[in-house]
Amino acid sequence: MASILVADDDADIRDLVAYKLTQSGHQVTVVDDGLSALKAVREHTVDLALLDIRMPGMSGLDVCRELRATPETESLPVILLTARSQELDIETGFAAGADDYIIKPFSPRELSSRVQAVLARATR
Amino acid sequence: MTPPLATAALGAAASGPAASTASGAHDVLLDVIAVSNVLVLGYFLAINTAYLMLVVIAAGDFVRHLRRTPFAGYDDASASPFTLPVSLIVPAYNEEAGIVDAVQALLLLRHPSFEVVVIDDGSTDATLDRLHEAFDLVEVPHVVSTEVPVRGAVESVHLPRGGPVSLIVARKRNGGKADALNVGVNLARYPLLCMVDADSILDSQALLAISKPFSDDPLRVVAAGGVIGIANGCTVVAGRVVRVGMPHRLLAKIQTVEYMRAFLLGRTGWSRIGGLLVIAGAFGMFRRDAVVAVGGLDPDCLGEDAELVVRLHHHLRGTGRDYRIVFVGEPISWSEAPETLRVLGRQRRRWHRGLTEVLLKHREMIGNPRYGRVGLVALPFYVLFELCAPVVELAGLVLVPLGLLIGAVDLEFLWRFLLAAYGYAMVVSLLSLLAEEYAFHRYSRWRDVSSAVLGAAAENLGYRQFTAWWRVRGIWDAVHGAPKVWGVMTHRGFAAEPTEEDRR
Amino acid sequence: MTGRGIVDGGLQVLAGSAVVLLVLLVCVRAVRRERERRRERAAEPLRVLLLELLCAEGDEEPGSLQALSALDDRSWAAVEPTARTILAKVSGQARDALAGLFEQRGVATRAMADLRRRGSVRKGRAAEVLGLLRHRAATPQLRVLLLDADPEVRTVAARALGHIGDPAGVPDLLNCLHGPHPVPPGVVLQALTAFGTAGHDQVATGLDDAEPLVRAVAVEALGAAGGVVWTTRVAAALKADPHVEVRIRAARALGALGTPAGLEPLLDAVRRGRPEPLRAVAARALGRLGASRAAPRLGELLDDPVHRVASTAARALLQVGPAGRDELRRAADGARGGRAAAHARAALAEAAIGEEGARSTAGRAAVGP
Repeated sequence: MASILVADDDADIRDLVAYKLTQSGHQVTVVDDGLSALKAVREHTVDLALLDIRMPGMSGLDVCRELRATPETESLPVILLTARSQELDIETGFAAGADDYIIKPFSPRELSSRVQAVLARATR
Repeated sequence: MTPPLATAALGAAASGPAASTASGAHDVLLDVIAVSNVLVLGYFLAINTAYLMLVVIAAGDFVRHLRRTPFAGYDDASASPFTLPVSLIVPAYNEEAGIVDAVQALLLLRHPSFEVVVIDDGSTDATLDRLHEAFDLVEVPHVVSTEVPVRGAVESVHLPRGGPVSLIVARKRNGGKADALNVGVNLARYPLLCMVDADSILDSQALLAISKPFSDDPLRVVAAGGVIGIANGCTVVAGRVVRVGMPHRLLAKIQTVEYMRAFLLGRTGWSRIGGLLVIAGAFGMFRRDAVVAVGGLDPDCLGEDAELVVRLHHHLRGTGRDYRIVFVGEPISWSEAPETLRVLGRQRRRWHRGLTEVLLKHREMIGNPRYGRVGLVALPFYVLFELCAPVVELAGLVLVPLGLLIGAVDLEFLWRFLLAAYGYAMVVSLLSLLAEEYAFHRYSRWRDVSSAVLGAAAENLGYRQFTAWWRVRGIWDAVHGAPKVWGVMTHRGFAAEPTEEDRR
Repeated sequence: MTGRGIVDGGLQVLAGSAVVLLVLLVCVRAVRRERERRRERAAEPLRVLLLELLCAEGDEEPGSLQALSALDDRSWAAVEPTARTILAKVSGQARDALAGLFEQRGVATRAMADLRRRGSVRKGRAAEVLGLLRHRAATPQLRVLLLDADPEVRTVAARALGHIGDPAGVPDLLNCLHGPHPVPPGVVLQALTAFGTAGHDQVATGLDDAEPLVRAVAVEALGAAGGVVWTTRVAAALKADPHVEVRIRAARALGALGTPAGLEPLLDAVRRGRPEPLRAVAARALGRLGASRAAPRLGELLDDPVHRVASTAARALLQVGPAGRDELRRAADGARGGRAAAHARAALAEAAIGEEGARSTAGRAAVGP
């Protein structure tokens, strides 16, 4: 069981991801934009952040960079959510320090196992 | 033909003892004024009927589009690697306050492939520094294409460190908005150009929507205009409108209704007829090759956005090519509207000056069958109902009271006729509101509806008359002004500070 | 006085219309809001069922599927829009489960019937749904729809055929590019690339079509879908097609295919005297090919009077390995004249700042455990 932050401006995706991860036994916090994501990471203990790349105001990439630049959160595992067409985003995402990415449309089951894998890698 | 307003009942007023010699001339004057009044009021009916027709055509178009959005394929387009890439061109002059948020919001628009090209037109504030800090820019050596002639040379080009972020910032010598856009055209790498004002706020779907006509009809569409909405009263979070609302100030309310009628419905109507003449500089898309072929934007023309569209028509009709210039009714680019009479007056004066210049420059097209519907319908309409409207309106403001004073018009009749003319205008506005409510229903609160109705009514009481005055001054400027003074962006009210022109 | 009579009549008409419009405005709004509210209220509890269906573990049929397929029509109408938007956002088992639900609700059957009925909007919506559900049985009828009188219906049919991915639709997709108002080529292209290798042979028949647009789309589709066995045909199109648009797309396709066989024809296509847009695309394709043998020719292009060709060549040189970098450095030092030096310096600088950032973030990431 881990505490997971989900940031996405699409309510359907947010609900779906939160439902799946709760089902897998995690504790989930949801927010709908980048700034709130940063705030949530700073205020709560978060074990993993799932960030959509295209969010209003501050993109998932910027959130990720910001997390990496802050000593307290520099090793927080981050998974980015991106659309299939945005290949550039994936490249930039790894450059920004993301641990993994998930391409939309996605399978909830796969999402859950990716989260597990990244968490396992982080605790090792 | 007896003019209905010339009532014989007032003959008595003219028959004073000393007036016998002058009575002949007086009668003629009476007749002239009476006839003019009829013409003025007849003109009012004609202009409103024309607008009514446009609004009805547009409303039909909305219904059609609304029924078809479920299969418009936006999701596919946003995921397709074959969606044409777009260069967003953002001219900026002294925009230090908002430029970073603006660029950040633009970079997050939904579209599979685009770049943002910011042109700093010799700003005297910290516009460039703000961008440097926010995006970790680095100055790089540059070679800029010379396809479109420019006046203010590029001084430096900056890219974000650690790319690939699709952002390029160029600093150039001040040369005005049109010149900045031309530099942007030269720097743009992609086949579609989207011109956006630095202070406009785009809906996240806006780029996909405005580029859709280009992929639907790639062989013909050369330009597309987007809707401009008024941001006053809307809730903006992180560079995006999250809640649409009516402005609090009456002046802005009136403009919201006016934008809806004239821009949203009027231009949709024109697009449907095939005579769209104006694409707002705040949000329009062009094929790069077409813009290059006509030599870019005209830095000497104040309404460079409208001028470019008319020039495209001129050029493409002239070469006999089959082409389309279309308007996209949804979604929106939001702009701040002036909330004081002073700033509004300056804006309208500038707009009308721009229109006058465009029409003067391309006068050979007006009424010319060689230019099809543009020459035969759209341009004559603009001359008759846009260019001349403020003149006729002011003439009416002078002649009607004058007619009343010297007794050429009977009061009872007059107020009815005025009521009819302004009532007609209001009905057209109400119909626009209804069409918006039916198709887009962007305004969420009941209060917004009452505000809009209030705006539609209040427009006729003072607002119209004031704008008429400013617009007539705009015509005057165009005929007598020295264009070179306006060539520099600082003199063009790009931001809202007073300009030298206004202090004169 | 007739004038006054007309004006009075006009005033009455105006007042009447104003009142009617106001009433309509209020009614349209009130009805819409009430309907939305009711739908939301009905959909809220069903949303959880939907999420449960999407997130079901194990392979046995979840109870939520039964519950959802047994819903009364009104509740289904409330939840269907959400289900439909989610359908496009999920993949794998979740998608299959949701598509199964739609089939059970008879959505596909109804849409199939709608395809035959009148009305463009009805047909368009039905085609969209069938594509979303990847309902293979719809292929024959969607092929017919590619010839519909309504351009938007033709477009949605093309997209739906791409989603379904039955190669039987390929000839019709190529065919709908004929005529004065073809289906948007970008849409056809995207659909054609969705068929995988099974569709390649069919797509390749388009290379011999009399219509240039068909050849152009076919050649680009083969490139984008990785039809490597067709490289020689694509190369032949680049060399010999009479239509420049076809040659441009062939050049792009060779870049995408990335096989060495594309090198010679592309090197030929960037020569001076060839059409300018073709040269730029071919230069870019040489970069994608990444063959160091292309470096000298790309180096020559740095001095090209056409800005677009020169700048594309400079960027392409960055992609062709050490030979390309050497070429750029030599040009930057002035070996090929001032213009070439400027282009080379711009490209090198662009690459340098990109790498600089990447290195620093990689360094930062390495600090973690």
